Amino acid sequence: MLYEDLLNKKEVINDLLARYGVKFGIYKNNTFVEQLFPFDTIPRIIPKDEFDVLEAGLKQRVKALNLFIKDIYHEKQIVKDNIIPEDFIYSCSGYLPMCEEVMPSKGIYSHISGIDLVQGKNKEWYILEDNLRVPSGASYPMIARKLTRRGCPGIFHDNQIEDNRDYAKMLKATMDYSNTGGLNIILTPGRYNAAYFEHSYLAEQTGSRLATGNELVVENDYLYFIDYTGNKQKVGAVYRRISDEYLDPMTFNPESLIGIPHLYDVFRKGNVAILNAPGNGVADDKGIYYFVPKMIEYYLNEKAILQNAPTYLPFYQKDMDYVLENFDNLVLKDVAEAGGYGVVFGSKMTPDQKESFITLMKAEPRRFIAQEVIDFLDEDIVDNGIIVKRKADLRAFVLMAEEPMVWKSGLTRFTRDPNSFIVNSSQGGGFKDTWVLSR
Amino acid sequence: MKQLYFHYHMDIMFDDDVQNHHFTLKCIPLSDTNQKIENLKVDVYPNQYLSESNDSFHNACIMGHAPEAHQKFYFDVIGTAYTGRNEARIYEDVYKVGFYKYPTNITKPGHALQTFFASLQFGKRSTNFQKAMIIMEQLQKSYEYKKDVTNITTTAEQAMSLGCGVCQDYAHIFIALCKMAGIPARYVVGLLVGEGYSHAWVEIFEVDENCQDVGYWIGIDPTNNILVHEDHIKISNGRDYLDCIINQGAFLGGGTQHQTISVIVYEAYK
Repeated sequence: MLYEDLLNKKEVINDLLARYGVKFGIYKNNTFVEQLFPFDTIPRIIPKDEFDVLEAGLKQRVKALNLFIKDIYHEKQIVKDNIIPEDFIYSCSGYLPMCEEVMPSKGIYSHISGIDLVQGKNKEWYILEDNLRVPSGASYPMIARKLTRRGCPGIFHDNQIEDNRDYAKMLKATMDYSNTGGLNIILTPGRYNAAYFEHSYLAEQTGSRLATGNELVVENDYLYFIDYTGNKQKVGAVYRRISDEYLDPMTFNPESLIGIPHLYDVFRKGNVAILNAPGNGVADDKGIYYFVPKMIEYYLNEKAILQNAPTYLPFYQKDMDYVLENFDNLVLKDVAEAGGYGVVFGSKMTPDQKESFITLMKAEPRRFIAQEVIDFLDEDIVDNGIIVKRKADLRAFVLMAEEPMVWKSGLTRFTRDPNSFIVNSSQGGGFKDTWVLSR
Repeated sequence: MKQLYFHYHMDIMFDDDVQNHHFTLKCIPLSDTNQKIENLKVDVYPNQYLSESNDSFHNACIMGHAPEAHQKFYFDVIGTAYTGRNEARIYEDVYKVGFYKYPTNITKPGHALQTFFASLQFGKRSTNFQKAMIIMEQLQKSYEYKKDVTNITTTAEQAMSLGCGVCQDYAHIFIALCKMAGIPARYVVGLLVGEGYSHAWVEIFEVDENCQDVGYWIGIDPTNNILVHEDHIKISNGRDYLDCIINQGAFLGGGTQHQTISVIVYEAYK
């Protein structure tokens, strides 16, 4: 039995993960709590031929998304040609007019994209959402793989599993490609951030400096890192793990204390690369998601290889009618929310809740999308020593240097609650490694 | 056409040392189809690290960083503006100004603005400019100029429910109402002939009558109930006040600040 060794090592590996500080911080009632991110040693296994299709589809999608963001902040051809109603672009909270006409280094906007997918019982993969702002999670399978290899070397010897330890190399290549000359920096808000472990681990693995905003300063249109001796070294690329609004108090939220004043002005002049570029939120809006297959056709003249989950926009009357008729079979999402919040199932609402939700949806149709509930292919997990089935999704990582590269692994997140579909770590889910087979 | 001399000065005294002071100034008028700016002299203190750029709204920005302790900050802008030039209109594509139709946090309507908007009678007036004139006319009747009731953070909705305010409030309310009517509108900061402070007004986007795909901006001053003319010198524009902040700063320390602003604009050869 392939798994036996893995099952036996589960506790040992989780203990090691805890010692390495592989934790996930969440704010509960305004206090910061770090919890372990439970690791399940049974991997998700994706055969080579299946992954080949995913890889082609993900490259295509990220290419189109990058072209879309560039178009929106410059030529706006997709608006002119009425492929996407301007309402969906300009009223989206991630669209930032202060990014208009600013061209990032090499014209790349989304260098690190975390694309969430689920597999249906029909074996078909569906895109659930695109995370192009500050997607996190690659470090968890990286370190889990390392520890699993140490604990169960035989398994990796006997099976044809693609090595996933090249993520750092890919990330470094991505930073180097956009770098305008100078250091690579990973900018963290600090240790009270949910993904601080990841920030420090990726810095260590890519040979970048881990820095907070107060260790970086803008002078004469360039960005400098101030090292521990007070020396200033020029910075060429900032992989920032801070959201747009806190990045620079001079251009975005003036209240921000974790940003770098005038960073965006340096970026505007082409004197530093910011990964991912500010303004990407316009493309990872749940309303814009609906239009991604259309974008692929528009920008690349290709049919989308990977399908969206069947999605309806109440913004269109036809879709509104469908949503009202099939309310109980749908999952409804508030486009402004992230992290698994603002997601409700029509079937789980009381008549009162349903009524108030429908009133709200009719008043603000632009705010919601509705999707068919996909019958997930469940994954095996170990719960108190017994193997049970749970819902799981896959976050695939696509890195953009000269060409898009798809990491041959990914973060598989599962829910520990048998009745839940929500797999987000902020909602207490766990994670698995993702094995892509090389044959 | 007028030849105007302008002198714009702002200084800030701090009670206590200020350190690591970063600032962005949007205080320089640029030449465009309505005004030509000449003999521009700009003086900024502290001036250790200064650089220039343009933001996404095409405003001229001076960026500075003063790491050393200081207790004084000022800028001084002097120049000549040839105004009311009315040169050939600059046309822009309609689809490129779309974002000026969508409300910001400051210009988002609430009950007061919605009620007021519902009372407007546009009748047969179909162009953006005609509708904007109706809005200005009605606003003049029901809104009152009054100092010290609002402040720089007051939203259009708050200013509307108070029933009175200053030029910034007039401009925000006017923008909010234009957007509700589907008219792209933007906030303008500038100077007006006379002495005192900087002024705020609005530009609306009018679609060309012969070609619906392009249009041009028209300046409207709802505070004074007039169209922008040769007494106005434009400095900057954006979606609302926040895009046009004249002096945006981030610094440590400083204690209490005392800000003095003086604006003098007068006509040559009068």
